[in-house]
Amino acid sequence: MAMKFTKSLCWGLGAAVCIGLFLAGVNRPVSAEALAQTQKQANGQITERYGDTLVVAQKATHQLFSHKKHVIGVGLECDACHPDIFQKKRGAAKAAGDYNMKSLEKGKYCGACHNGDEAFGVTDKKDCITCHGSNMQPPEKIVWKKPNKAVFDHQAHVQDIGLECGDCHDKIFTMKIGAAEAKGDFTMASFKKGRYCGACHNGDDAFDAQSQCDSCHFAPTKKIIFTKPVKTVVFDHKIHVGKAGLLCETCHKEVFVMGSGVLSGLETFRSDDPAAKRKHLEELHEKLCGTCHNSDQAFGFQTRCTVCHIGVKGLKQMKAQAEKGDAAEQGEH
Amino acid sequence: MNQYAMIIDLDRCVGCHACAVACRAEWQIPVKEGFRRNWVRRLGPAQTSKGLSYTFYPGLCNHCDHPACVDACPADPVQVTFKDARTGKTVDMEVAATWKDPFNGTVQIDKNRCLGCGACADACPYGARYVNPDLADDDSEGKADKCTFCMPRVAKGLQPACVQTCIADARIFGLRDDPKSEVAKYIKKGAKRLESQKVKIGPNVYYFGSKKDLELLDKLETPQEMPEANSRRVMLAKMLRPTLSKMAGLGVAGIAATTLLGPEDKE
Repeated sequence: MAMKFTKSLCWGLGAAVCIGLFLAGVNRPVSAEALAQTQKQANGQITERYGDTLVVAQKATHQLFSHKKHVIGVGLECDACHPDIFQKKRGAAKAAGDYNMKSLEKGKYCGACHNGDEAFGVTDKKDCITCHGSNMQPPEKIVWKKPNKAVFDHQAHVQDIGLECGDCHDKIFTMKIGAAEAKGDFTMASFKKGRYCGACHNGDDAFDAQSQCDSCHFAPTKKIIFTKPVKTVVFDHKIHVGKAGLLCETCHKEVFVMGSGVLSGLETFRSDDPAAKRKHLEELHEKLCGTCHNSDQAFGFQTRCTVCHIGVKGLKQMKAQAEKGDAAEQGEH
Repeated sequence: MNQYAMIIDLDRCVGCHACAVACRAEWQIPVKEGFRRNWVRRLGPAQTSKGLSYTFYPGLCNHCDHPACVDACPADPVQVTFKDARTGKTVDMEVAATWKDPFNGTVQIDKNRCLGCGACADACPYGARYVNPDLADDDSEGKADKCTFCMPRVAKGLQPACVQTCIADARIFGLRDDPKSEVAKYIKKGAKRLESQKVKIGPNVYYFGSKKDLELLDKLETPQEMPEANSRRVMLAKMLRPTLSKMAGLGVAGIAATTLLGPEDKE
């Protein structure tokens, strides 16, 4: 009974306070600046004016930490965290290199309070979302576009291999889409030095990054038309990788070393002596396509010339066909 | 960006304080110690190397090129699209509750998102900001406030309140980078910024006057050091700490206090 009375008293008081606040709000003189600064439009879009500069859109950025929640919500003083736990400088913790879940679990950084005792713990799975947002699902696959197209199977690494987020983030990869691509050294050469994927893919902990190219990279789907040293030689990756079942390394390790410019450096051979010319062409074929196309592993380069040498007319036909049909089949490499 | 700037001609200033009063009236700044956007200090009479000087220091926010206050703001950042009403240009920026305007270079505060922590006020070497705790709402402990270069007035084609009211035309407002502006002409004539070796953040209020007056102004008012972060709040917090630590033995309140003070107790 007493409870009920108290409850209704609370309601009454609450209503009185509300009315009071409402009236106060109506009567309160509004400063000219406040009026000028904030106007809510009928469509709900916030437009704030700072003179001629308008704020036409404002959206929250994804932040792991909110000062507002901790200072206003919880009521912490600045020196509860600064400077003992966090330096008072934006990005200082990240720059320290150990600002990750492992450190937090050991009671460093956020973990100083977020230990499951003073504040929710950092190991409790249901609390991940509190800091990391609702989209805590790691991307299933990442497709890198720079400097070359490659795919990374996130799920395979986390679920099948059982890696923890902290194993790669943020020491090896910053946990931000496009962060690695934005750096100039996200290359195979860096992997060789143990950076990025190369941290594990060293042939010891995981397959060597210098092998098994097609685990991450794709063969081009578009036919390559060579213009050097002679015009209109066509090469189709699809047949070689698909039907023939070749690996990238089969050709790209020694014969067509990627990025070596093995073909772009060749000039058309000119000679008045037919024998010399023939010899040169034979040697060239043997060195390149002839490695396999020797009538043994694949048709010999002395046979079926027109399979590759399609001629100017053939090229024209091919181009016309491409424009008509499979425009979508663009090169990916 | 075309930076707004102000010239203060000390040869003209008579120290009447009309500028400070006009500012207070225009923006309804409460009359309270330390609450001001605009001020005038009397300097001297004092001996300088160029003779006896007796001058004034009319001051306001410098809307610096590299404002220390903007970087100090700990409010949760948001992605904001700014639009210049005159040109229609838009700029996307990630900002906390205070920022440097991308179009006119003024430094502004979003009062809705300000936490009232005072970090910006502490970071300003010129003391141009103050926190008004009376404006505290559910989201804050108060609101920081400072000169806006009267942007709402300027947008209407008016001069800033302090400039319009000045009886001696000692304040000149305009675009710094427009060579035809009065401001640019004064800068060319030798108007000085209050900058020192360690405080070089590009203040955009320039002072012009006789050599002796500028010497006295520089000697007394140019900050020589960037402020140590939050000296005021560190002091406040230290004063509070012993009281709160004692609360640890007081049952429920003690538990609450230890929770809040967890990291402190480990010291």
